[in-house]
Amino acid sequence: MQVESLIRECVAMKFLFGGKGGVGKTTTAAAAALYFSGLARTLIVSTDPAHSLSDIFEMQIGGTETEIRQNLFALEIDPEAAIKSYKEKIVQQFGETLQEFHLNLESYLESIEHNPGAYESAIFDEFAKHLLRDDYETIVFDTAPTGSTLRLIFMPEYLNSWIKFLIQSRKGILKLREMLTREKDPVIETLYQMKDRFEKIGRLLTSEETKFMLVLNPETLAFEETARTLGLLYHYNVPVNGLVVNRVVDDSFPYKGYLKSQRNILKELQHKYEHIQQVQIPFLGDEVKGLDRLGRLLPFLEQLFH
Amino acid sequence: MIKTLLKQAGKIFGKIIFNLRLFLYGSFELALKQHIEKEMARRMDFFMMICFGDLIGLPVPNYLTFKLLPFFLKELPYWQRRMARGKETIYDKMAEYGGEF
Repeated sequence: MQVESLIRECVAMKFLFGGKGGVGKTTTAAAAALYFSGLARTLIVSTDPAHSLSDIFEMQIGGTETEIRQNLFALEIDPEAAIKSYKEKIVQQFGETLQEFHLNLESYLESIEHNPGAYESAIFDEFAKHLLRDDYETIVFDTAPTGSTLRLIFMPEYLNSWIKFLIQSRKGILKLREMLTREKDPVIETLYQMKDRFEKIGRLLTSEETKFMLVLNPETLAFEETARTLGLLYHYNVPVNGLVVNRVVDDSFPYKGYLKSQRNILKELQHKYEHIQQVQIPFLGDEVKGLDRLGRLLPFLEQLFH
Repeated sequence: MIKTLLKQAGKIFGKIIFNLRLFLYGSFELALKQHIEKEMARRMDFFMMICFGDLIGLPVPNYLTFKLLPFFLKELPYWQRRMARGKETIYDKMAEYGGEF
């Protein structure tokens, strides 16, 4: 039993696929999940509210884990349902106090849903929940385009500073409260729990266990955005473990100007980011969709995971 | 004879101790306690404001602090009333006539 859990810890890996919109994040993530499902139990989670995992696996995937094939499970985060269940869970704790005191919290409960940031917080909460689970050896995250994903990664830091402020404020009260009573304070315990959770996620995101992969096309816009993202991630000490260059055309491509610009960008990529492992996926001519066609990407991706 | 005298002396001594304790409580502990309680209430109001500002019309990131609401439910209506009043008129009036509160 112990050995099993040890092995599980060694194999446990988290992969995040990020990049500009439309470069093939979902496709690459799905192919990676397919690759790992041959080795261990794998879960692929889509954190993009505009989900496309259902389309790529050609089956209906929802907020619950759906088995795609042996050892491969998929899930699409539904932030609205997450907010609802979170709200219900807390409201249950209210018990009968609400009627006892004739409180009217309707508009407040409504504001929880529509407050700016609630949506992102819910996505982050779900993301954290799946990031911390250990019933899957490998978890692959198909994230939203760059901006939202960066916010997801920097969220623990931002929330931590907010929680720290709350803890500091609460501590000031407790210092006085200690002089009057010796009861334990449930509020600060809850705050500490939250802080621990955020710190754990922050550590996990910057640790070896989490591999952050950026997907891009050899085109100027995608290249520039990737360069900016890399700079930002480097600044926040989040390591990037691989670049996946998708849709690389070969010499038989009919439009020579496009071919030439791609070659230039590829050369620049190799020169500028030689310290990051890079793999190239050629332009396959047709849409990559369904398990069979996803399998065609595996030989190109294999390099990345060794 | 001596027994009754001792009894009376004990009674008087006990009374003195009792009054002394009352005096010390009134002069030190009571004022301190009141002061602490007031300061605590002030800070508690501030804490509730940064947690549940939406209830009085201040937009704050309330998704996380919503988790803390069950602990403050009983205090909520009084807090709302205090916030709506804005000014603690009675205390202000009392402060005008001198004295520490």
